[in-house]
Amino acid sequence: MRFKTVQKATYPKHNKSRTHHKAIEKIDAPTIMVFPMSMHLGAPAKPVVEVGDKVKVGTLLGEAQGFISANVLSSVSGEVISIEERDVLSDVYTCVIIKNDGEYTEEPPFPEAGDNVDPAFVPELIKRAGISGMGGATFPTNVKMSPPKDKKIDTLILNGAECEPYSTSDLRTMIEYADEIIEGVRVIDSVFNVDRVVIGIEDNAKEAGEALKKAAEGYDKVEIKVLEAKYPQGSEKQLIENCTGRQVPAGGLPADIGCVVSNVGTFQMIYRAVRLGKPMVERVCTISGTPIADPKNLLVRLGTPIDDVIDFCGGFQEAPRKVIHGGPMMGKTIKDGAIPISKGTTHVTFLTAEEVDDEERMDCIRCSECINVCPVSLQPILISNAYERGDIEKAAQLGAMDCIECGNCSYICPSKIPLLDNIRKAKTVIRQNAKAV
Amino acid sequence: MSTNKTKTTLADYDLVLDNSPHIFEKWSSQWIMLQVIIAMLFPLAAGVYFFGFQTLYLTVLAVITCVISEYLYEKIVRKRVTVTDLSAVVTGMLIGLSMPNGAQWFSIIIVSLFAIIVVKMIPGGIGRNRFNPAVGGRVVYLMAPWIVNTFVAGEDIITTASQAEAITTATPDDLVAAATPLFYIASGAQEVPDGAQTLWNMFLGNQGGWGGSLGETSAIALLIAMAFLIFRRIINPKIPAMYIGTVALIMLVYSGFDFEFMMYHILSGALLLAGTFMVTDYASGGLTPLGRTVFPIGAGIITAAFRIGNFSPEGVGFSILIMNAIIPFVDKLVMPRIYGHKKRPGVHPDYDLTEPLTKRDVLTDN
Repeated sequence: MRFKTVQKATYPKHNKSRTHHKAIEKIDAPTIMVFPMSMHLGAPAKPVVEVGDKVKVGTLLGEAQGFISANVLSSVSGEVISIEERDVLSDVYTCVIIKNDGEYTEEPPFPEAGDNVDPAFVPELIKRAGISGMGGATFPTNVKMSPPKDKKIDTLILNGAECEPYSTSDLRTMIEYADEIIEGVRVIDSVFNVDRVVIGIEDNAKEAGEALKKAAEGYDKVEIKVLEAKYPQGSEKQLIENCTGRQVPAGGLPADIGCVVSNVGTFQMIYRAVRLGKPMVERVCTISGTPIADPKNLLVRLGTPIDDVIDFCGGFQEAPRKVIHGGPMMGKTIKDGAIPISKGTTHVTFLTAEEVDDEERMDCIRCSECINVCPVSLQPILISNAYERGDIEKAAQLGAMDCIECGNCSYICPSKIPLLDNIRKAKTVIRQNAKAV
Repeated sequence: MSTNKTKTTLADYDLVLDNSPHIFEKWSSQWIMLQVIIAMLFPLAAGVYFFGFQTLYLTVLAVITCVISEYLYEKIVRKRVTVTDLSAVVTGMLIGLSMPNGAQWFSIIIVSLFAIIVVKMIPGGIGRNRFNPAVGGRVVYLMAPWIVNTFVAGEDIITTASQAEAITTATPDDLVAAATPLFYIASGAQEVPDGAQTLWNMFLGNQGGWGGSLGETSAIALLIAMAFLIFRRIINPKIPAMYIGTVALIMLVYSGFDFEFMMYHILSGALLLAGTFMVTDYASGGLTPLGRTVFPIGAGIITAAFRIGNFSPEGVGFSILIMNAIIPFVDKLVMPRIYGHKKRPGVHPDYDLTEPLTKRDVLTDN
């Protein structure tokens, strides 16, 4: 029993039991594959192929543009049949459409890859492989692994805290690919020579901890940290604090306090890129939710449209009302089944009409629950009120820009006030004002 | 390769687009109020047992008055009607429980009208009232004889029928607590006088028909109600614990560590009633985590001061109103430090929730 107190977290139902024990299944890629030039955070990649080009698994389709960007590579072999603008996850991006020939002919592995890669060359291989963070935020991994020279990195944190309901992709990855993850850790350790490696997992994923512990036997730096299963345990800032006791300074990066954090799956991809010379062309993704007849953990080739995975999971047993790319706390809703599984697709959640019923907004009763559950100690109701009054300056003073948009405030509000919506809008106005100055 | 034409596609379904989060905690403001109502049934039942059915009659009268007055007020000023959130029922029940045995029906109606219209609705309705409506009503009731004596010379309109004569010369604030166990010990006494009730009787509520408020008579009923609210996660246990603890500690030290004296103070008067239903009120309590610590401790200190200083044995209501007035300023000073920042936010921005929202009515109606 939890008493009502300052929790800085919420406890949404995990809803993970339907896929928790299901081994990862590989799904065949369909004929038509879609590759948005932005599967990552930062500048979209620039297409380097043309219609009619023949491609192989690992062929560069889009080249990273600017400092924060990532390469896009083909996950199948076949022919480029179209390059078009498409609506993907609330923005329009150029997409390369490829007709899969079903042969899966591969490009040769990166020649520099192997067991004795110069640590200084590791970020370049990661960049070439097109790896971006696999926890959902999709920050380009090569950028993360090349912090400014003056920052000494002493702690490497692996994010295995899968706090979004329904998601079991990290859990299964940790259980089934523990060895590859630990090899990836060794690669990054060779770059930074850290003092400590902390793998943060939630207490509902103990099997994962055991698998990783076994894989890391004799590797003394590695420590498995079992954290309480609560939301947002897997948020980067909160995970750092819970694993090291340090707080990332406002406006700063984890590197400022000597930490590098990345999702467990990312380390598996790092291992494959640096030791085996293989690009990131697939990922583990959970397909779950009440409407799905047979929810699964899938190993999906990137670019596979969501429509194509639904059949593989037995279709719908109940009509979906919301389809969410990601989890119900932070994910984005989609309508278009042609939107593909991309680098950040940890899971796709389907909700029934009953599960999404919107209740009427009521007046604030000042229960202060939004303040209790805010992981960054904001006062969401006050920011929301300031925004609704049109007082943007006050919203900024109250820390609107520090909001990590985890959704806890809106989730908990008994009066169903759209707190996060208002804070997001306030942030947008604050950003616009900052630009205008 | 998946191919055929009967394939499932999202295009066949009526899907909605929306911002995150997409799931919500299964509760509502109405549900919270309902839990408080359920909790109040315990002291209400005890009141009926010890004082008879007039307890029920007075409480129902208060509830009806509160709900109707809130409804009519909202109709008259053309606001969205909010009586379905049940908060007016909570206020009405709390007024009923705070009233003395023998209160008159017109007293109940006047107090309820004052609580809802003046304390709650005029500042803007639920969540915008700086003062606790029921406590405001209770204190007005206590002040009534003084007001009447001052302005309508001699005539007591609102009286506590059964004990009134005995104390017409005493301070008007004593009215409610008159002849209760608290009255025996409160006049600056540092020990429990002879002839006072036994602790056990006070715990059960068997005060021999000595008066006292209808809902505060039985300590055990109030403790059950408190446990229920804590168990339902409606109230934070630290709030009643700190409020009652502060009073207990001060009384223990004041009496030279007389445990019996301390227990008398915990079990008598409105301390447990307030600790369960008044100090824990959301709207008029602290907003920040630290504000929610300051509120009960401050209220505890003021309650003890009232009792020791013999300003009035019934310091509970005053202590809550005083803290109600102070706490918004405290909250501004103790805003939580935001993650990654070294200081508390802002330069005490005036973020008072009682400030009306310009677009409020438009927003709530869409």
